Amino acid sequence: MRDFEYCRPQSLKEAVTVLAEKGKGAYPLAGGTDILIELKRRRLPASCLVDIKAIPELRGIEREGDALRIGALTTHSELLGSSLIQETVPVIAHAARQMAFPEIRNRGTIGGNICNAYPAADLVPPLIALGSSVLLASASGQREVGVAEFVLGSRQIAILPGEVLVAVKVPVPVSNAACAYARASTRKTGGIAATSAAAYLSADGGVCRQARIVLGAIEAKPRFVAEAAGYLEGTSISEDVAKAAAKMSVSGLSPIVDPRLSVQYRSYMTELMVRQAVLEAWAEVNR
Amino acid sequence: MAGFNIIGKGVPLIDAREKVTGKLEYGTDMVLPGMLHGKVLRSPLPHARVLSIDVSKALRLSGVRAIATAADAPTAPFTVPGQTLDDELLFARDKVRFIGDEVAAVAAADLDTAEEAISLIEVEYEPLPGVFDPEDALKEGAPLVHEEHGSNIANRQKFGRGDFDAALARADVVYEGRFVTSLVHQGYLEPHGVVASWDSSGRVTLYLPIQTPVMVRMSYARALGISEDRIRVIQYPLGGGFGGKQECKIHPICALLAKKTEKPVRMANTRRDEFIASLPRLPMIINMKIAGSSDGTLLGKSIRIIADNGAYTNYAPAIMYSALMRHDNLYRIPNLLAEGLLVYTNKIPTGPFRGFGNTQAHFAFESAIDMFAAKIGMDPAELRLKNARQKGDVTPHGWKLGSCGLSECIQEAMNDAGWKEKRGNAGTGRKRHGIGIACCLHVSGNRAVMPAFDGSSSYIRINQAGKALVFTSETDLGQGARTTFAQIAAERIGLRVEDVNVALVDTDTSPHGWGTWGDRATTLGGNAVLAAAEDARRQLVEIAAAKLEANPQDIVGENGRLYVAGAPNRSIMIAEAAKAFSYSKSGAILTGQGSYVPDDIVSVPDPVNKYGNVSVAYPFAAQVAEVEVDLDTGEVNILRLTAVHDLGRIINPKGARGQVIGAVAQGIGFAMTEEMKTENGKVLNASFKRYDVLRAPDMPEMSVGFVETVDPNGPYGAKGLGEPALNPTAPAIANAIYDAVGIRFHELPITPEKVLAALRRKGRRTQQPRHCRAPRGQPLHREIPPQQHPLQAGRPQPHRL
Amino acid sequence: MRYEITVKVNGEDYEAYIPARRTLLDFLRDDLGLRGTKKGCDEGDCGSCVVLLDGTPVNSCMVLAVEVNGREVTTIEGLAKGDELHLVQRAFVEQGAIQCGYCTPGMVLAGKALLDVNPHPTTTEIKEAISGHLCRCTGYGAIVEAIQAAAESMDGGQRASGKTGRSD
Ligand SMILES: Cc1cc2nc3c(=O)[nH]c(=O)nc-3n(C[C@H](O)[C@H](O)[C@H](O)COP(=O)(O)OP(=O)(O)OC[C@H]3O[C@@H](n4cnc5c(N)ncnc54)[C@H](O)[C@@H]3O)c2cc1C
Repeated sequence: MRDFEYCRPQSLKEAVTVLAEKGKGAYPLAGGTDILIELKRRRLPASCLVDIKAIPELRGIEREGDALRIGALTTHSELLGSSLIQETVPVIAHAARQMAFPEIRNRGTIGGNICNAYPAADLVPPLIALGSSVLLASASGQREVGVAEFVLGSRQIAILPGEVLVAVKVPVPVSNAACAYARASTRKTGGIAATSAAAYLSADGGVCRQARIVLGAIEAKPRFVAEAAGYLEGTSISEDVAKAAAKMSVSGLSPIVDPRLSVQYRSYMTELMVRQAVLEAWAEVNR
Repeated sequence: MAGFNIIGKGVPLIDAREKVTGKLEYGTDMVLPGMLHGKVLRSPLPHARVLSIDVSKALRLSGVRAIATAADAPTAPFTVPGQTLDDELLFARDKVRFIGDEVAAVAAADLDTAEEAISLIEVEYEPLPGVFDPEDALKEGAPLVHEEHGSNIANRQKFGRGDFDAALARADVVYEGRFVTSLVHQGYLEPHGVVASWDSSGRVTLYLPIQTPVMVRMSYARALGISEDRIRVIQYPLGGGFGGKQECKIHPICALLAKKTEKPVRMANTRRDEFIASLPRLPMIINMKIAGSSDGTLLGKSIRIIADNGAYTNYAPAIMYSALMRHDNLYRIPNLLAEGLLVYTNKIPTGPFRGFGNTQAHFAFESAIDMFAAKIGMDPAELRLKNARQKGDVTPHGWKLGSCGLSECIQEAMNDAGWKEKRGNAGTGRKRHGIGIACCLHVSGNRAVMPAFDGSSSYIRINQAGKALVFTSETDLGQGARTTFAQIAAERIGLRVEDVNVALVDTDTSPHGWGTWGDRATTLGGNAVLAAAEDARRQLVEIAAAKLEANPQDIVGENGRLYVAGAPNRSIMIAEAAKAFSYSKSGAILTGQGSYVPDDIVSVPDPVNKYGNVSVAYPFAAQVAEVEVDLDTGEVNILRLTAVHDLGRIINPKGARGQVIGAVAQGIGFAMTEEMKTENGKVLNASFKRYDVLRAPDMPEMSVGFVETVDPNGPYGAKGLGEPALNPTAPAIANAIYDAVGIRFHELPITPEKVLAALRRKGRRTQQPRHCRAPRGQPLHREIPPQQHPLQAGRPQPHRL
Repeated sequence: MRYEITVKVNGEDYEAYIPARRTLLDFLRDDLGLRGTKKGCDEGDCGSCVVLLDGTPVNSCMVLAVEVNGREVTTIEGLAKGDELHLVQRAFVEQGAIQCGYCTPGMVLAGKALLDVNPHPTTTEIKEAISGHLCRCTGYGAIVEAIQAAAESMDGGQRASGKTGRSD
């Protein structure tokens, strides 16, 4: 690794001040499970790591009205161990469980997963499907941006210089709505996703009212598939309907290269993942 | 085990306690005071002329102590012992030949500085067209990897037995298939490492986690242009080897840096170095033809291999030789033809990996045997039983099978797996069920690799406290060789296992032997230890007999004590006897010497026709895999794997079981998930994140069984085990998949992607009966191997996950 | 840039002045000489470097030493009490769960951490707990059995009622 500075602010205010001061070469350090690899491979021109783990404002999982506020520092292990998440948005716990291994989940955070903006990031598709947003803070104030708008592309986020992601706001699905996530990889255990899909559905009288389908890993950026979602809305979802929606989801994809698998196969698996996510969400809605 | 005190007991590894407490120092844990840290600059291009190297900026960096390039290294090319194609240099001179080729190396005060210095070395390259496919490399006009060699064929072998053409003409049925194995990595957890240090007399000591201390001394002496006696290799414990730790370029490079800086230098590969510039398994394209009668009599077999050497030649000629003929000794097939081409490409050089070519060939051969069985409508297990080699056979290659439990292994594996009930019962739903069998044989030492001599030597010192220290040159790679040797010595002498230690190899003090490969350790090394133990015992017994006033023949050793048979209270402690010996000789330590020289059993194969009995003993095995194939996703779930091995005699049941399960895990990886993907010579998945080694949740249910045939040449009858356990796994799985869905997979790994593509192709084809008997009179029934489906759909963007 | 840190490792306090870029793994191995923690990949993929950070298993290659200032680290060297092995260590020795031993320190610590929070794991839970650890020698069978055996031996006869942990 190249040499860099390290600091550990104790409050959000201190953190945004330091980030503003240090300028371009300063990067927040959360769990470090992404950024350390970038540094080891000498791919990141970081001159200063601002360790945000001592900042109390970035912690905790709380219910705020009809949304959950998940602190940026919440680790994947905490996500899958939280009874509040299990009760309100179990899909987040499910997605966290798909990731890596216990040790990495003990360190990696939800904030890092989003800010890293890795195409295969597992939390991003379900968060987008749920309609989540991120709360950002900087020396000049706070703002809220939808995760869908925040993630711009592979390793690109709409973060402003000096900003810190403070928390993720996740709308809790109402009683007749649910979200499911499915992903495929090259191996059964701990593999990086080769493609993934999240489906959010709400129902009214056995008919799908609202649908959101988000694909992950297959393109540089999470993709909303509006046509397929629109097709589901107003139908009573069956195996065949899910299949047809899945087929629609993969038309016109611009897959990125995954050295492990062909584009054809990944497209096909995307279709399967959409079908699976839709059927699981639908089963959940109708429980 | 009746009659033994220690052989056959599952004693813990003698170094288990050190390992479990973190106290064992591995090669990469080695530290010398004041040592520097080295790092290699590797070529970023697969094939290019090196126009200039400018190290001035790097040298100016504070903390940098020395930089070495081809200008500092000897100009004479070298290769590994026993091989003849000298094509390696310490650093690329004029030309780089693969991505990862060593261009320069830095020694610095710390690793971060060395890394920084590497990034400051400026190399000007003139890119040359590369060749990345061995079949392309054979074409007229293909770029030459080594111009001075005149062609890309590094090595060619051709030999036969009987008359294969006549067998073809006589055969009712012929199966022919083309099989492809992939580039897979040994994946030992400890990367290669070295500490090098020169003394004032001009000798260098290399502290190495290495399988073959004596052999690397030979090749590194050539690499460095110094005599062998100026190198001392001190072996350190290895964090795994699997054939991959028989050689590593950073070792002699480190010696060069240590010389230049006059300081000890340490180097270690990163995991990325491992994936781009170590010696992974030699990939092969194998054409296999099997000819026989419709009653299941096998008449002939031919094999043609095109092996992808990579940019330099390591042990690949010997590996290809093994692949060309070893499996011929499994079944009774009289007419054989073999041809192999070892071909240079601009890719990572390749080398030994558990199985030594036999793994690749067994995949092809045992798949082909299954297809032949399908063609004649015979149960593939029955076909194997019908043709299985038996004890006492001398095979067409001149191999003498002193023991052979192949038939028993097949029978037991079939029974254990429920073969008869489960076979041909694929079911109908989305998930299809299948069961498949494959067998293998292997060697226990291989005279063909090191013609100079075979066998092994050992000596054992027993000190005044009755503690024995065994010296051997056959290394422990973690497979437990030291424990095996301790058990053998303890059993023979009458010591307790905890009284026996086994020294790691030090070329200054250990016997001169070839180290661990080719399943030599237990059988050859074990015989040597047994002989040394016998010698030590003889001396102890003489003393005991005199003290106890008994006949030496009546002295029995057990539990650290020597006693008179039938009168256990007439006894003397071994410690006491050893002390008496020492005191009577002014402090000499009782030393037993032993050599195992199997010259009348094995022979160096004929250089051209390769005839000769290369090994003292041959282990056999049968494995049965049970799988479930998901028709929707192409995923293959391995439900259960039965492995039954003829290992001669079990020395340590826990160790033996561990060897088998560990090898099967590697076999499943080889079959299903592992592959170093390359594109224009670049390894695309150079990390464990994308190179898919099996993890704990991925393992199937395992059933392990042993057949003890007690080989006449093995120590206590023991034969090799570590390597063969990997050989049948991939073909057993491929055969099970065939049973489930009727599709033959010719190419490894069998990924869900390939399965799905094949299922779709099959869906489009008209269904054909699976087990069709070929009518007489239409012998040549060729199977055309399916082409891989085109990968270019959609609009891939130049972006990597 | 260098920083002062204080950490408790295996119960002992250490003060060090180290560069920010030093990983906890390199700090333990090179600065403290605790080389029982192994380096297998340096990218969080293999588990050889796992240590317990305030009792929780983490990949020490994925943590900077400066991050553990004021915290407590347990490495494999800190598990046995004198000559007395931890039950998980003992089970590894007895069950033949060790071959080359390079993965062993990380595996043992992962096993210990699991049993600390889940004294009666199922085999599925054990496999999950060690899923971040590669072992290229054993095929994992004996390792899973060892962790199971350790769980049983921790019951120490108190659970003589025949309840020996959940099965799958
Ligand atoms: C072995 C291994 C396996 C993995 N497997 C998976 C997997 O299966 N699926 C998956 O999705 N990921 C996986 N990852 C990636 C990684 O663990 C996750 O993305 C994790 O969530 C990253 O979080 P972190 O806290 O470690 O991020 P860090 O590494 O600390 O940070 C990542 C980036 O985000 C920035 N950042 C972090 N937090 C904030 C914040 N609050 N505000 C502003 N910027 C911030 C950092 O500056 C940095 O640029 C794996 C990683 C490893 C090492």
